[in-house]
Amino acid sequence: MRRLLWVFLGLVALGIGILYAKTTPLTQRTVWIVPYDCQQTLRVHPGDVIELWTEPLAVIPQNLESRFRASKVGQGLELVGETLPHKEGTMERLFFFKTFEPGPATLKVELIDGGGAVRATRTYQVEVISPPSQD
Amino acid sequence: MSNLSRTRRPTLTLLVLLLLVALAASIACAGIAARVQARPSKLLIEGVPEKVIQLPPTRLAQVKQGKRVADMQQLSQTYFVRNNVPFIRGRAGDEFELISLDKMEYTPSQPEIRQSQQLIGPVIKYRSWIFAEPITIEPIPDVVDHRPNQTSIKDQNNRGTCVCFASLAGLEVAYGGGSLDLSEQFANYLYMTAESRGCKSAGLKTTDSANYLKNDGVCLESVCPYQNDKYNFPAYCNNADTTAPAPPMLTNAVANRPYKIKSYQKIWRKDNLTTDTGTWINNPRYLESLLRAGKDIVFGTHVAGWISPYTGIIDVSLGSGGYPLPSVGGHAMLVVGYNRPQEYFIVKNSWGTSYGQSGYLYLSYDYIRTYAKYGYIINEVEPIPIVPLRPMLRAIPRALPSR
Repeated sequence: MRRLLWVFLGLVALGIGILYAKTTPLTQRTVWIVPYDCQQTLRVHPGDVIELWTEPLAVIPQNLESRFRASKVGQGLELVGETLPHKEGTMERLFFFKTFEPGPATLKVELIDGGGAVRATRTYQVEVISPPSQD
Repeated sequence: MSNLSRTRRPTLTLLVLLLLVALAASIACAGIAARVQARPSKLLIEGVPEKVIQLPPTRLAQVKQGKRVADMQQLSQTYFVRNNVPFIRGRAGDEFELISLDKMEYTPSQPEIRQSQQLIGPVIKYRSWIFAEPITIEPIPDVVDHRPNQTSIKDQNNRGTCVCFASLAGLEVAYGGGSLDLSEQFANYLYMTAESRGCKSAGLKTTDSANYLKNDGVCLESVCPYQNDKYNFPAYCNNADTTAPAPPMLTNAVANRPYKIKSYQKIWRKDNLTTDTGTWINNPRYLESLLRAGKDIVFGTHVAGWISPYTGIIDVSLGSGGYPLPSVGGHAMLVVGYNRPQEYFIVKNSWGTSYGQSGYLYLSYDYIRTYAKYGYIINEVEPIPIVPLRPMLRAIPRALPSR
């Protein structure tokens, strides 16, 4: 009898959880996946996220001391984080930029060697534009 | 009457005191002797995900699991008795130390008596009542090294093809090793085609290579040789694709690729493991048990804090804040052995023979616990079809001519 009661309570808790999840407003974001060799100007809206992939550098002794560094010029977006893809063989980095307000911006990714010198630089043009009005 | 009681009281007190001293001394003596004699037996579960083992009919005093000491109640899920027969339930990679409490006859030797006397002073009588009786179980080898079984060390050069090299190193040794040389160039073509990825892509999740090698076979290196330099690739590949072999090679390779996996077992990572237990890639005890069972492990790991030329044991390096250094990228290799006393794994790499110990790296157990991501073992490979002897069969007459 007591076990039945626990099962009932568990089901009630689950139901409340599902209801809560359904009624909670979730923010939907658009994520733009940008390959390292992209040359187009990226046109994005405020609130969008840019996921910028770096060059797939091979994991070999000559590259192990190298690293990628990302930066931006412009007020409308911020670098919010970076991660690694789930694969072996390459030293790619994924940089995440979150956009806030309209305006032009430039993203820069530099490949730095073990001594701190810049080996290569890539830049990406971004234009954060206002979304079309809903009127 | 009162005089008598006065004279008896000190005598009685003295007697009780003497008895207590004798009791304490005998207990201490037995304890020391037990420490001298106790040899714990090691029991290791391996080869299967979970196993129940019947123990000899003995009264267990203590079961140690890994570094954790557990008593009977803590281990009620692990140790149980049915019909007065004790059992241990363990998962692959679990290691137990068993100490029994069976009573046995024991007389301390003269050196032990002298040692006891030095420690606890004069002893009136020695009594042995509880001693540990070792349970005879096969010892765990300190070192397992499959290097002699491996094929030669290769060099991926400046391409991000480590998964091809690690997976084919595993496949080669599963086919018996020796001089077998499978084509990494074709494997890369296979993997990238399966992933619908083009020339600008590189790298692969190591465990996915097991699926691809089960669905499609690979050919010999001689049929489709490796292209070393990704920046100086042959002109047949008009978009500088580093994955596609030349068309004639590809035709031959597709027609001649019998080497494939029949069955495999993937191994995943579990974060926040507090003890070395379970069938996880970051459990060194589990990897040891697989190696003891004759398996080599294709695995993917984070690369962090490696210092060229990697001849020593690669260990976890701490960065700012005392945390392990962050990963610079993923790398795939093949685990081929271990050294238990020095706590490192022997790993076959694909950077030529100039790095590490003639091409093999030593990764510490802590490195595996911290950075290993996932892997797999090859359980069975497809048999190589035997070329039919048709010309010879044709030469044999179907029936004898009748006279």
